[in-house]
Amino acid sequence: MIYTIYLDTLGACFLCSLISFRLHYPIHLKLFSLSLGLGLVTEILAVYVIKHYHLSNNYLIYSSYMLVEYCLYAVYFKFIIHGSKARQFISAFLMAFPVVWIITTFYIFHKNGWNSYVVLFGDAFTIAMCIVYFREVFISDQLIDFKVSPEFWIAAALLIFSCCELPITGILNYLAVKYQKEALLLEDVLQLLNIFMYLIIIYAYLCRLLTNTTKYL
Amino acid sequence: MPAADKYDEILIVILTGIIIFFVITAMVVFIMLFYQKKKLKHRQTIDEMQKRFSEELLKAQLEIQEETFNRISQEIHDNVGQVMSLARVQINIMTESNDIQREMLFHVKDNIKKAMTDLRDIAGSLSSQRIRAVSIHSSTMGEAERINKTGIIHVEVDVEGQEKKLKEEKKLILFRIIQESIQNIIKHAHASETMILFRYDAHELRTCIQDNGKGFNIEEALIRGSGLGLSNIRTRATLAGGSSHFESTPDKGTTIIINMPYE
Repeated sequence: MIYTIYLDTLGACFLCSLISFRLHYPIHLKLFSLSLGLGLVTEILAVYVIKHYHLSNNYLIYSSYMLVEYCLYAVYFKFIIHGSKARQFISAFLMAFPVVWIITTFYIFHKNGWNSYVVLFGDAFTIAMCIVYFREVFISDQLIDFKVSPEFWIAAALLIFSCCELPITGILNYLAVKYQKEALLLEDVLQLLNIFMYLIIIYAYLCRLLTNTTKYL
Repeated sequence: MPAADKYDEILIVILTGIIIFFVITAMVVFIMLFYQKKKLKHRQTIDEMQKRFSEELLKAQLEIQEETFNRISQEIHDNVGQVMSLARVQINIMTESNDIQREMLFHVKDNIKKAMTDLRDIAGSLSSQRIRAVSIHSSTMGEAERINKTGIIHVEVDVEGQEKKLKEEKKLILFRIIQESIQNIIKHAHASETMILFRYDAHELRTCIQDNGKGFNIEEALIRGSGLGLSNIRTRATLAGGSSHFESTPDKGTTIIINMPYE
């Protein structure tokens, strides 16, 4: 039930994000829309693979998606963050993350294991970048009305989700082996957090239309 | 502890941790939203104040310009025009008579000289460049001299303290205020004497314009709207970063005090 609501919200979020292609939204919002589309495709593919190929799990699909997802987030943050040190850090992350992904996926957790290190690495990076972005906009001389700033809402959604996701996905391997029932319940919590995040992102894409602001229109 | 309770404990700890993370991050976001809203409101207020200030400044500039035009027109009509008309009449008389009257020629020469002096004085009192170049009390002394020549009123200028440099824009505004005050005294106060005192204090210049005219009720004048000159003086003094104060008693004259900081 909750998974269906989650998928519907993700689908709605992706459809709303397509507005960025119709209107003159900046490239980073279009890029973020792409990551939402990839997320939707991954979810559908993960269900399809389990059903038709009778695999024990679909972790490799999620793991592959995470590689692209966090890289897209990094590029997204590179567009919206202006500090040179932070941008250098993003570039370093973009080079290091695929290496970490290959090592952890193929040598530590193997193809069928849940890659919690990638989640840890990716979420820690996302949280750090959200904080850097918040700091930049907060001390900036140019006043931004957060209420109608898609970038602010997307960063807020990512920050809330990443902070809450980290304790669940970080110990998923441990829980899946020892406490399966609890792991399933926490998965529901994760879906709830996903729904909440995508609802904020829907608002992020529509806030300018809802408040009749014409900056990108 | 039974195994089921142990599992519940783990779950409760994890869920509580997630809720705490959720609440903290959500709070951070909302504090940012709230603070930014306050910042935006503050910036809006400043922008509005600046806009209002620019409008007031423009209004004051236009008023000064309008008054200047009126003064030029009045001065030309009352002084130079009259003298030149007299000179023309004298020349007409001379052209109609057969012999050249040397005495009348001297009169014509004197009148033309007077008209030229008047024109020079008017130009001097209107030129902002000249006002900027000298000290405020020097330009006021020049203005007093010009007015004293007309014989309408006697203006005296006095200076107390060591002269300090007043910003050029402020000097110009203060001079225009003094000019307007003298004009008001001539027009409405029916005064015979006016005293202008400059006192150079540590941080500001205190200008006191005092007349022995009929005086008036300041509050009544402001309510009736006839105190437009007073509100103009007040607006200009405020625009230049200074302050103004009026004291008037019917039949006992009026005092205008303007405090202008140097910077």
